[in-house]
Amino acid sequence: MTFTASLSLFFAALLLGALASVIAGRGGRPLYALEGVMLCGGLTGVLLSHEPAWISLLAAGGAGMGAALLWGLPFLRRRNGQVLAGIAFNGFAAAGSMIAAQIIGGVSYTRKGYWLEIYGENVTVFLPVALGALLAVWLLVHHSRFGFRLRLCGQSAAPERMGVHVRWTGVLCLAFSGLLGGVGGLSALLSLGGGWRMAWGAGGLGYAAMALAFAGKYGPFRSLGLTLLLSLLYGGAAWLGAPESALTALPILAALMLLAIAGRKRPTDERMEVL
Amino acid sequence: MKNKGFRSLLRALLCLGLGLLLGAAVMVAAAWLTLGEIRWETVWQEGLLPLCTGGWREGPLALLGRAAPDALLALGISLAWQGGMLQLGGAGLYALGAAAAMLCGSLLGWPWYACLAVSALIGTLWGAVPGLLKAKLRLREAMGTALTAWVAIYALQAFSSLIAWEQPAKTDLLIPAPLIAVALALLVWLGVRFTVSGLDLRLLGESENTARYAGVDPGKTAFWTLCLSGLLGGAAGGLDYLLGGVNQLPDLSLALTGPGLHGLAAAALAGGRPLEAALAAVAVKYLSLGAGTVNGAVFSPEMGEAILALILYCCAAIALGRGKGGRRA
Repeated sequence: MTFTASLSLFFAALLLGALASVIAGRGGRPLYALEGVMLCGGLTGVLLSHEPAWISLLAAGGAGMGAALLWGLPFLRRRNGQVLAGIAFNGFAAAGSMIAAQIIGGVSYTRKGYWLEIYGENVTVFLPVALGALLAVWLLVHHSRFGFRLRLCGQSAAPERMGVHVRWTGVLCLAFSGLLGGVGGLSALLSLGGGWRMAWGAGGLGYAAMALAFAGKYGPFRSLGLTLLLSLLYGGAAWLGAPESALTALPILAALMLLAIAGRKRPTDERMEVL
Repeated sequence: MKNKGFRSLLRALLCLGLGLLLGAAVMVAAAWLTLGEIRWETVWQEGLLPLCTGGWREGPLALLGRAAPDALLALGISLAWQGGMLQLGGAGLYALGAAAAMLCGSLLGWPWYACLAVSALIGTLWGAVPGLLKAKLRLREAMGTALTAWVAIYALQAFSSLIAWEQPAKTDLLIPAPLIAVALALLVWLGVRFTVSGLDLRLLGESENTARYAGVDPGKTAFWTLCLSGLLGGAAGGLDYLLGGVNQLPDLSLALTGPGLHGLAAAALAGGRPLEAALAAVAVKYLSLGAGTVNGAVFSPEMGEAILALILYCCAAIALGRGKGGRRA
C-alpha cells in the first residue's frame, strides 16, 4: 500500500470517528465505546472485504450501529455509568473479536475493492464517504429539525419540557454515530499493517477521534480542521522516516496535546462538560 | 434493607451473577458456532465448571498472591473514585511498572523491594501527567488517563527492539504479596477515612463546588490523588512482574483488556470503596485464573476477559445509578 493510500485511509478513519463523536456529543452522550464500535464495524466489514465495497461498507455501518445501540440503550434516560460502560464495551469488543477470529479460523482480508479511479489517480473510497459524511453531519446537526432536537437534548436540562422525545432522539443519535463509527472502523483496520491483532482494537484511534471531537467543541468543521492537522503531522512524520511504532503512537500523543491546548474546560462550557 | 453495606454487597453479587449469566450465554453461543451444535455437557464440563472452579487449583495462598497486583490496581482506581475521578490509565501504569521492575531486577540486579519501589516511583511520575493536565488545564481525568495509558504502552512498544524481556529471578513473593496489598489497602482506607486530606478528597467526590467553598483546592487534590493512584498502579505492575505474571513486554491488548480491565471491574464491584475493591479483586482474579483452565479448542482464552467486561458493564448499567463517582462514571 502506498504512503498516500495509507494516509488517506488514516484521515478518513479519524474524520469518520470524530464525526461519530460529534453527533453523540451534541446529543449529550459522548460515545465512550467508540473504540469498540469501530472494532465491531471494522471486523464485520473486513470479513466481507472480498465482496463489493458497498456491501462491506453497509455491513460495517450496520454492525457499528448495532454496537452503539447495544452500548447506549441502558443510558437513554440517565448518564451515570456511561464512561465505565464504554470501557467495558471496548474490552468486550476486543475479547469478542478474538473469540470470533478463533471460531472463524482466522481473518483474511483484501484492500483491493476499496479504490476509485479519479482523473487517473487511485483514491480510497473512504475519502469521498468521509467528506460526504462531514456535509451530512453539518446539515443534520445544524440545519435540520432532528439536529435542533439533538442539540436541545445535549444542552438543555429538561428537553422533554420542550416537546422533545428524549429516548427516541437518543436512539437515533446512537444509530447515526454508530453508523459513522463502524465505517470509520473499517477504514482504520484497513489502514493498519498486516501484523495487526484484533485484540489491539483500532489502535486507540477511537480515543484519538473522541479527543479531536471534544477539542473541536463538537463542531463538524472544527473537527475536520483538527483531523487535517493531525493527519499532516502523521504524514510529515512518516515522510521524515519515523519508525512504525512511533507513527502508530503519534495520533494518540497529538490528540492528547490538542486536547490539552484546545479542549480544556472553560467557565462557559457548562453543558458541554460531558467528557 | 437499610444497611448500606448489605445493599452494596447485594448489588455487587447481582452484577457478578448477571455478568456470569451473560458470559455463560456467550460461551454457549461460542460452543454452538465451533461445534455446530449445542452440547450442554461440553459447555458445562469444559467451559463453565473449569471457569468456576479453576481459580482454586493452586490453592488459596497462590490465589491471594496472584490477586495482590489486581488488588493494588483496584485500590488506585478506588482512591481516585473517592474523589469523583475516573482513573482509566491503570493499564499504562501497570505496563510501565512491570517494565521498570524488569529493568531494575534483571538488568541491574536489584533486590525485589528496590524494584517495587522504582515501579511505584515510575507510576507516580506517569500518574502525575494527567494530574497536571487536570490541575492546570482542567482537562477531565477520564480522557487524560485513558490517552496517557495508550501513550505509555505505545512508548514501550517503540522500545521493544531495544528491550529484551527477561523473566525475574526466583523470588518467592506469594506470601509477602498479599501482605503488601493488605497493608496498602489499610493505609489507603485509614487515610481516606481519618485524615484531613481524605476528607477533602471525599468532599471533592461529593461536589466540586462545595469542596471549593469549603476551601479545598480541587486542582491540587486531584493532582495528588492521581499521583497516588499512579503509585499504586505502578506498584501493581512491578509486583506482578516479580511474581512471574508478566511473561513478555506488555502489548497493545493491555489497553483494552488485561489488568486494567480487571482493576476497573473490581473497583466497580466494590462501588469505589478501597477495602472492598481489594476483596473484589480476589474474586476477579479467581475468575481470570479459572478462565485460563477452560478447553482452549472450544473456548477462546479471551473468554475470561469477555466475562469480566460483561461484569463491568453490568456494574455500570445497574449499580452506578447513584453514589460517589457514579455521577461522573
